[in-house]
Amino acid sequence: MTKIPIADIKAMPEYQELLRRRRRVGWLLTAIILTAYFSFILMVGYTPHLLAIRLGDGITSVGILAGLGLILLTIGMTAYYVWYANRYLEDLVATIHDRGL
Amino acid sequence: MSTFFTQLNLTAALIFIGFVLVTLMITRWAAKRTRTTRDFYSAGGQITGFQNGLAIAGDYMSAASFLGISGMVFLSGFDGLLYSIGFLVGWPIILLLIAEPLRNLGRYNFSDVVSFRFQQKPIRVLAACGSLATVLLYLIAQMVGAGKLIEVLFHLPYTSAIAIVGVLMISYVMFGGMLATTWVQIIKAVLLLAGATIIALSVLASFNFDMTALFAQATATHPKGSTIMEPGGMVKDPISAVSLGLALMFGTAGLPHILMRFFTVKDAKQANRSVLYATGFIGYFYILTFIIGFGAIIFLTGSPAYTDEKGALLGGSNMAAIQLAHALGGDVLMGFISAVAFATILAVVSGLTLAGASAISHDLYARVFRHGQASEAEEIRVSKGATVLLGILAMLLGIAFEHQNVAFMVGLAFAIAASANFPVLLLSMYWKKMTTRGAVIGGTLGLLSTIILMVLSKTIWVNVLGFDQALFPYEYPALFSMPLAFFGIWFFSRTDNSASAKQEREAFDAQYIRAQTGLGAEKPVSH
Repeated sequence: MTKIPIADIKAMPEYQELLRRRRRVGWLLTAIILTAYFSFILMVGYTPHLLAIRLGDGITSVGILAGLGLILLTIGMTAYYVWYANRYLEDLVATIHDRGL
Repeated sequence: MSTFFTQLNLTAALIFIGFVLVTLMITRWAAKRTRTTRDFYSAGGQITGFQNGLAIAGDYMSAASFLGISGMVFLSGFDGLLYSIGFLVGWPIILLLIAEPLRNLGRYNFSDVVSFRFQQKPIRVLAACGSLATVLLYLIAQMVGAGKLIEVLFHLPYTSAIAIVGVLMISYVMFGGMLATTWVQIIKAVLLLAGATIIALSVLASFNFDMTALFAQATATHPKGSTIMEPGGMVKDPISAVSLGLALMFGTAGLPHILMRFFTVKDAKQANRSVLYATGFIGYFYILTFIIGFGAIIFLTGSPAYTDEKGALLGGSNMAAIQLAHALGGDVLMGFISAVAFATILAVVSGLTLAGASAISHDLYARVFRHGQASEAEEIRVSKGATVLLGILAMLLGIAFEHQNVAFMVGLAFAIAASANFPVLLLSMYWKKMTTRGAVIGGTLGLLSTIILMVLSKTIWVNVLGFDQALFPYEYPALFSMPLAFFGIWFFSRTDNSASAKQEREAFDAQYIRAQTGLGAEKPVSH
C-alpha cells in the first residue's frame, strides 16, 4: 500500500470540497428516505385508517399510492445520487488522485 | 381436483436442464480463469457496474421473495407491499453510506473493511461469526424452500431435490468461484425479470392497462373485499412494525453475500453504478410481483382448477405466481416460470455459499489461524474445502428442517445483519474513536441479543418450544438489538484507554482519506 500524505490531502481545497458536498447530499438524501419510510411504517402501525382513505376513483387507497410512491422515490434517489456523483464528485476525486500521489 | 401438479411439466424440465447445461459450461469457462484468490472471491475485479447491478438484483430476487411476496399480495393485498418496500429502501443507504468506502477499503469481503485499522484476529472472528450466522440461516430457508418447491413442481422426492441443489451449487462455487457465480446470477436475473414481466403484462393487458379497473376487479373478487387495499393484520403492533422495518432497511447493508459483490467491480465509481442498476431492477421487480399478486387474486380465486373446496390455493399460497402463469399461458409459461424459480434458488444459494466460504478461508483460516502467512494456493484450497463443507452442511440442515416453518429464518438473518454486521461496518468507516474492544463487544452484543430475543419471542418460544407465554412480547428483535449494538460499540470504545486504542484512532485519518477518495485502494489486475 502506498503511504498517503495525510496532512497534504486534508489541506487540499478539492478534498474539503469533496467532503462538504458528499456530506451535504448524503445527509439530505438519508434524512429524506428515513423520514419517508418510517413515517409510512408508523402510519401502518398507529394510523392504518389514514392509509385506508380512498382516492378520487373510490378504489385506490392512500396506502397503495404511498407504497408505490416509496418504491419510485427509492429508485429516483439512487439515480439522483449517481448523477450527482458523476457531475460534481468524480472530478474532485480525479484531481485529488492527480495531486495526491 | 385438477391434474395440475400430478404430472411432470415437460417445458419446465427441458428449460431447467438447458439452464443447468449452460451454467455448467460457464463454470468450465470460469474455472480456467480462476487462479488467484482475487479471481476466486471477486472475479478479478473485472465485472462491470451494469453486470454487477444485475447480479446484485439476482442475489436479492430470491425464489422466496418472488413466490413469497406475490403469495402475500394474493392473500392480503396491501400487506404484501410492506415487505417489498422494506427490502428496497435499504438500497439508498448502501449507496450513500456504504458502497464507495467499502470498495475503496476492502479486497474480498466486508471483514477486510471492518478490520482495516483494528486488531485482525478478534475483529475477523466477530465478522466471520456474523457472516456465517447470516449465511447459514439464509441458506437453510432457501434449501427448505427449494426442496418443497421442486417436490411440487418436478415430482422429485424432497431429499433428491436438496441433493441436486447442493451438488450443483458446490460445483459452481468450487470450480468457477465468483466469476461463475456472478454469471449464473446474471442469467437467472434476466430470466426472472423476463418471466415476471410476461406475467404482469398479460395481467395488465387483460384490463387494458387500467390499474383502477384491475384493483376494482380484485376487490370485487377477493374474500376480504376492499380491505385488501389497506393495512391488514400482518403487522400486529406498531413496535413490531418499526422493528421489522429497521431489520429490513439496515439488514440489507449487512448481508455478506451482497457486500461481497462490491469487490467484483473495478472501482468505487462502478460500485455506485451497480447500486443504481440493482435498485432499478429490484424496484421494477417488486412492482411486478405486486401486479402478479393482484392478477392471482383475479384469475385464481374461486377457480376450481387452481383452488380446493375451501378456496385455498393448490400447493399453498406460495404457488400463486406459478398458478397464475398457468392460468395465463398454459403449460408452457408455467413450465418456464417453474424452471426460472428453480434456477433462482440455485443462483442464490451459490452466492451465499461463496460468502460463507470466504468467511472461513479468508478470515478464519488465512488471517486468524495462519496469522496472514498462508499462501494464495493454500487459501484457495481451504476456500474450496469450505465450499464443499458448507454445501454438505446446507443439505443436511435442509433435510433436518424439512418439516419446520422456516419463514422466520430470513427475517432472523436480516435482523442479525442489521444488529451485528451493519453497526460494526458503519462505525468502523465513519467513527474515529471506535476501537477493537468496542467493536468486538458491541458486535457480539448485537449478535447474541438478536438470537436470544428471537428465541424468547412467540415464533420459537411458543410455536417451537411449546411454552404458554412468550417472554419477549414482540415479533422482531431489531428495534432493541440494533441500539444495543451501537451503544456497546460506543461505550466500550469511549472507555478504552489502551495503547492499541490510541493507535487505532490515529489510523482513522488515513483510512478515511482512502475511503473517500480511493487513494491507495486495491487496483484491479489485468489479465
